Amino acid sequence: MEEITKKDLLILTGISYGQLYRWKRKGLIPEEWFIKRASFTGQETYFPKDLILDRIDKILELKDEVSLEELSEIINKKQSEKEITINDLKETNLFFNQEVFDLYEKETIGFNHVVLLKLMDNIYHIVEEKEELKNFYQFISKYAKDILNDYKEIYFITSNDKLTSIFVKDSNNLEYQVDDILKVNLKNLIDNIKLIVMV
Amino acid sequence: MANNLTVFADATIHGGTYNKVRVFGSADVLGDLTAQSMKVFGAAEYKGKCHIDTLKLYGACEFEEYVEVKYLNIKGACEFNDDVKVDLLKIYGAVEFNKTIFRCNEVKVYGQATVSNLEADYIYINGHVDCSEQLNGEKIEIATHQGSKIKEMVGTNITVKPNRKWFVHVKSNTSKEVEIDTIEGDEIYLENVVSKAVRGNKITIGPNCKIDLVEYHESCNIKDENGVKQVEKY
Repeated sequence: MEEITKKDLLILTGISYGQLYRWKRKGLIPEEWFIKRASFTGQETYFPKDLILDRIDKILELKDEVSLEELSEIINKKQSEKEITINDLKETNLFFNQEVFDLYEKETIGFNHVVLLKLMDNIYHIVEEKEELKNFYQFISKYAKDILNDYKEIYFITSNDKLTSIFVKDSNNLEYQVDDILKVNLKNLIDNIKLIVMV
Repeated sequence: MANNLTVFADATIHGGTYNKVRVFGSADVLGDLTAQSMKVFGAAEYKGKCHIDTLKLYGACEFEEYVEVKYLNIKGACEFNDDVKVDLLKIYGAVEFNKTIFRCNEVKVYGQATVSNLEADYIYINGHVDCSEQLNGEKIEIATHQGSKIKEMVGTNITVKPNRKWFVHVKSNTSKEVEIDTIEGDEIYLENVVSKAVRGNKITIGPNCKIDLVEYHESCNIKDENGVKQVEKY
């Protein structure tokens, strides 16, 4: 993954050290994104470039509408009970493939199922047999709560038109030698959806 | 209405919900404890999670699990081995935090504290702090007369200077240096600081500083040129 130094990030986005660390303190930027490496001045901090730029854009966009405390509340709340209608969800432009809405049958949708649908949306292009997608969706919606709470990452592998998924709790010492692999970090996905849907 | 609990001698508490808890002797808390207020004058060891509104520790305490407190006042010696969430924290005694203290409104240290990560809106240090990871605050003030050692200090408004009150001044003429590896913030004022790198928007370097590198964005005011090796604008 491409990385960016802290100084470059501040120059690129125009934010200050104070803002960056305030957002970190409020939990809007996860601790794991601060990657520390030794340098001649002690240490230098790097960030995963795409993730951090995306998140900062979103915060800057929202901070005029919503206070920082409210944003922090939204992103740090464990489970949200709020249900929204499918039509509202369609208007958020969160989904690339409108077809995934066919998987969900009810009129209103809870937060967990929005995450699962978005997950389906992310893997939509790698699954050829759409029947398989449906089966997989039925499987994960059965265990939605456990999956979203307990697992950190999901890996998707497609070989011979078959979809294989691996649920990972701790990815630190995971090694793999497969090229066609799609990695989804659940926490990042959930946080991003929260910032779009819950605000 | 929950019960009150007072321990005079030696007791084992299996956790539960209480109104007021007082420990004069020695107590082992084995399960999760929820209480309105708790005072420990003797010794206590917590092996479960704690949710307490007002927690005052005058004796010796050890916490193994997550602690969530609104007001925490430490006058004895304590050790916390997991994350701590606290609104208002005052330290007069000696305390060791081995994990993160997060989403805190106000922290005041008059005694001695060993912390790893500390996140608070307002941090005031008038004692000694040993920080192995990061202090992160909206406003950080450090009075330097006891010396401190901090790995990384970040925030919006950072001030490090000796306490100007006259009686403190008489007591200790030689203000001790504060060692801070890196300082990053918007507005920074430093005195008596030894640091490798200082980065920020508006930086003022006062007397008695030894700083290897200053990187500033808007303005930089150095009162003692000898104390700074290198200055850069970004």
